[in-house]
Amino acid sequence: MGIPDGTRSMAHSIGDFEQLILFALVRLGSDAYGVTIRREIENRTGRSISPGALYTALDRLETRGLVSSRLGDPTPERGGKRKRLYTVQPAGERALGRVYESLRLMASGMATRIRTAKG
Amino acid sequence: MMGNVHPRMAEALLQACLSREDAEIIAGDLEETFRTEVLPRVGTRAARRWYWQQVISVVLSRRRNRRAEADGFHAKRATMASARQDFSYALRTLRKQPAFTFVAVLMLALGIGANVAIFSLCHAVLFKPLPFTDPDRLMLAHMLAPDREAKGVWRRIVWSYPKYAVFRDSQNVFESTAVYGDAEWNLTGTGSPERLAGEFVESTYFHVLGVSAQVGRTFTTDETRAPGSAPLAILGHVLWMTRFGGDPGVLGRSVGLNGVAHTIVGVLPPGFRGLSGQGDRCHRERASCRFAIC
Repeated sequence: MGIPDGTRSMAHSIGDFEQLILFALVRLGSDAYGVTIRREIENRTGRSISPGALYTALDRLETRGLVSSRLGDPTPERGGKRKRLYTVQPAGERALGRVYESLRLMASGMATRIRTAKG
Repeated sequence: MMGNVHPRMAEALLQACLSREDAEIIAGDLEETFRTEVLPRVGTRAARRWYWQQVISVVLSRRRNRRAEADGFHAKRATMASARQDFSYALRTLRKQPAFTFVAVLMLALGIGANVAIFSLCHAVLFKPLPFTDPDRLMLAHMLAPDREAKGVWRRIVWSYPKYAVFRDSQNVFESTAVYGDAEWNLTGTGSPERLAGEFVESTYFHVLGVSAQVGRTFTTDETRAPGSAPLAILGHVLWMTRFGGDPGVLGRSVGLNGVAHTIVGVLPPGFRGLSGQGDRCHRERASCRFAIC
């Protein structure tokens, strides 16, 4: 019924920005780190991402066990600095699946009635 | 010279405000973006301004997060301090009013004691499952007859073995049935005589309760149905340990129960005391006896 499901989804809810990050991580696969995540979201949504917000959200997702991270190798274009690579965990995949399913169900048949960014 | 280099001061600020690892990761991300995206697109001056903006954004964001965490910690500490204060105030108040304290403690003790007693009783009588296999499938059947003096009142009447045999052979409600009765015997033949409590049981008794013998076996159907067969006994665990020293060689030995020799065929597991709750030894009498044992 509605109330218990709603309670469960509140307990596991992920915000709008966190959803975008999780989608980006899934798309990027093994090459997901700060730069590529930001670029992926900006290119696909046209939304400008502040690095402070990005790292804070990534920390929060990692604390909640939805993503994990490991240190990658240093590269010359980074001035010899290492990168932190992120991976979506099964809990993150489940959370994203719930979000996607909810949106899909709610948006079903609404294409002509919703005004998108492309107008 | 500035050249195509990101602002070192900004990177130093990052290192000063963040942990070493975080500073390295974030500075690396910023430097990569600076070199590959921002600098080619907007030129050196604007790119360096962009870099500063990003560093300030990260530093401020981290400060905000740290403050939020600290606020949470302080709120928790404040709650604890308040609870301590309340507790100490309550203690002082109670100390100043010993009569009130005594009555309060007495009432609490009585209340808690009564609750514990009632709960223990309810647990033992209502909630605690019987210590047998599938206790929810066990039923205790009584025979009822109308009371001659009180109309509409039904009272339990005593089973007899023939009544039980009719019930057992004609019922189709239960998967299996067993009859038992509690009794006392004088035990002889193993040292000093002793008065024992036990049960007369039908062979299906152990199967119905899901109990197997720890040593030896339980009764077979033939043994409890054939009239005139030799009397057999199964020892309870306590009796086996105290009277026979836990000797497995007790099987086949003969003991006297009310002067009749019985052959021991098994020993029951520890903790099993029968449906009567006081059975220390289960025992099969002759089929012709007046107890409801077949």
